[in-house]
Amino acid sequence: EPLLETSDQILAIADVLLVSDSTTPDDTPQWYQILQVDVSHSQDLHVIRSNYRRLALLLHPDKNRFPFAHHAFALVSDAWTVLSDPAQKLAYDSGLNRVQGNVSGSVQQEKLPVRRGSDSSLG
Amino acid sequence: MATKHKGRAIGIDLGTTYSCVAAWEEQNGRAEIIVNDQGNRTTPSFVAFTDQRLIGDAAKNQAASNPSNTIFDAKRLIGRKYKDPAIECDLKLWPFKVVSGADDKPMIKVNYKGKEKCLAAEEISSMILSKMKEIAEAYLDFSLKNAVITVPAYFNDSQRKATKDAGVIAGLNVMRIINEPTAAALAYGLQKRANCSEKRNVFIFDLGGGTFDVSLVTIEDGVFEVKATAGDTHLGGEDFDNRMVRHFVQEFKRKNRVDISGDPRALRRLRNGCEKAKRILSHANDTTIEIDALFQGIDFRFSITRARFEDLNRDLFEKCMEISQNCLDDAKMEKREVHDVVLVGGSSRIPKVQSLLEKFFQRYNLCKSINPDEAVAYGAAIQAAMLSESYSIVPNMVLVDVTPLSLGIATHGDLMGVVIPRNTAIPVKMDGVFQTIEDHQPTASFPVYEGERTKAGENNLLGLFHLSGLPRVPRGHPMNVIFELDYDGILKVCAVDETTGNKNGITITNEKGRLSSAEIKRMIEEAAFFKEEDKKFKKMVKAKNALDDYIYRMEKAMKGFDVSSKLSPSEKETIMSKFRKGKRMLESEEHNEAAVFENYLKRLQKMCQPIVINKVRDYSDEDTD
Repeated sequence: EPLLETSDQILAIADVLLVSDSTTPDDTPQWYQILQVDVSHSQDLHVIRSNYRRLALLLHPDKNRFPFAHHAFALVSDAWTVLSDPAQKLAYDSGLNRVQGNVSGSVQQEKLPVRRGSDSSLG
Repeated sequence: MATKHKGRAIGIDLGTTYSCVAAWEEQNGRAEIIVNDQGNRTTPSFVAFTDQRLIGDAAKNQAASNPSNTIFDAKRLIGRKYKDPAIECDLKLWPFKVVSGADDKPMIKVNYKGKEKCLAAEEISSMILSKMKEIAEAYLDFSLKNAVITVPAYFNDSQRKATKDAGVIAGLNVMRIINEPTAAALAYGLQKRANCSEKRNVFIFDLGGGTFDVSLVTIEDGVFEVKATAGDTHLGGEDFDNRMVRHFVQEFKRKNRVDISGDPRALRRLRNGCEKAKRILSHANDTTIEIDALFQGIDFRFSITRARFEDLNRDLFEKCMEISQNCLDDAKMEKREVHDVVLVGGSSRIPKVQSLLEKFFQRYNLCKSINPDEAVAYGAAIQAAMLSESYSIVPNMVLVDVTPLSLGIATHGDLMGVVIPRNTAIPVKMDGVFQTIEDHQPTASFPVYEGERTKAGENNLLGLFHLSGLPRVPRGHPMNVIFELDYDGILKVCAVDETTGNKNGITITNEKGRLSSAEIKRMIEEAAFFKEEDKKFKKMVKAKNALDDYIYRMEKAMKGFDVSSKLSPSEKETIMSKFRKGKRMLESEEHNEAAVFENYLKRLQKMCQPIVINKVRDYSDEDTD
């Protein structure tokens, strides 16, 4: 049904963007909510995976021509990157469980020194 | 990209040795491989220059007689520097001349119509692409603009962009550049797993003419998710041929005490023989290569066994297995978790490669059910249909690919500070925090690199930008660097000083070694020039044939009946001398314009018409059309 699919596509964009817009106390991204996974299912990889697939098929900009599909798909993709990787998921879950501490983002890199601008040995 | 492209679209597999084109057929729900004018489903990636330009089968067929002007392997040069160690060895083996141009860009020297011309690899590739476009247009019977072109998954940024440029020069709208193994996965998914909804981990092993790629793709419910990819952009059938050629050059030397390595014609003939032998060895145990009068009148006759062939290439085959292991490691997957191993690329037919792969995966059911030569173009056509608005029925699938190489910034001490690690799903946006290394440092520079080496300088430099106006503070001042990679793999990098809000960045599009828009414009004009010349050549051949034909028939007619009633002997002699002059004109290489022959034909016709008007009217009527 082409008509139904169109409305589903628009609704999917709205759902994802609404979640990403709502703020949490410590600015932690809400990966489970973005993938529309109920917290009770947070350990059920099967649910997470099938939700990701459903959203990917709806939101991938190759298929979804509406504005912001790109943005919504990027969020879904980020959520899946974290939740599909056991190590990253564990880190994220433990961050969620911790009482509002000073938890920083999940994949923050360590600080690296940058070369000086005047360095002449570049490229 | 959220814009759909207007008009129908094709998928082109631009290979090192052979290219293939396919189009989506809505009514059949599948892609169709398009045959070329010779009836072949793949077209050699060859371009030759003589007094005309030849592309594809025609170019390859005359390679032995014109080795220094027959260009192949352009894909090995595209997007690389002349000094690149990867092509150092190739330079010695190629019978055509490659010189270093501006920015150390390799330029191919050819002799076209007696004049020397320098062509970039992009131009050679664009000629092949325009040939593929013509093949598709002839079959589909309408003119095309939109195309998806495939590249090896392990191609770096400059190689991808150079390929895109080649498409633009060929007059194509390149909707997207996709990875070859990913395209093969699409083809496999559609052809073999269309009604399978459970999750499958598919390992694509793509060993082609010049490049080797492996990808691990998870297919489930129409979502194609690339987990990891690895490869070598300089490993393939050509390298196996090279090993054989080198082996036989030595054997020939030992037996006959002559060295053929300086003779391009002999090398080309030997290479053709080796390629054929390699194919035979995929089903026979041994074969003999016979080439008459290969060098100084000496015949070449050597046999080679499959075991010897395998031995010559042992290290290359083993390298394939190492790369396969790396890919599995990156995907964090065990061998036993892989459901299907799919063979793609002509060289995947080599029995030793298959047996090593069987041993590697400890299984004996490699998937050979998709056509290894055509799967990539097939997949590209599926992607092309998905990106074009002209198709209403397309498969319900999406493709999530990864970036094959890590992206980052060179930090103090030339260390590579990775921001986006390899095998990250694209599109992606990631950031890293970098800090100043000196007190009161006023500006920081950000050289952007891609590659896996720890030493940034050994990776591929994509671009450089600066962030100035930093506050006068001790060293360790943090700056946030944001990397954004879109579907086409186009990278945007920007750096923000969060204390001042200063911001600067670049879009890595037009960097060193890449063609500038002025150069692309020039090459488009040159492509038009070549096309015009091709047309002129065809016209000249037609005019020459018409004149030749006319003279032949008129001579016969003059002999065949009694013209004396209408002609005096002297008149007859004048006409005959005009015929002789015409024949001389046809034989000499002096004239190469169609108009010369056309005008001469008209003059002859005018001269003969009143005399023989009754007798040979039907002849001349035909000729004047």
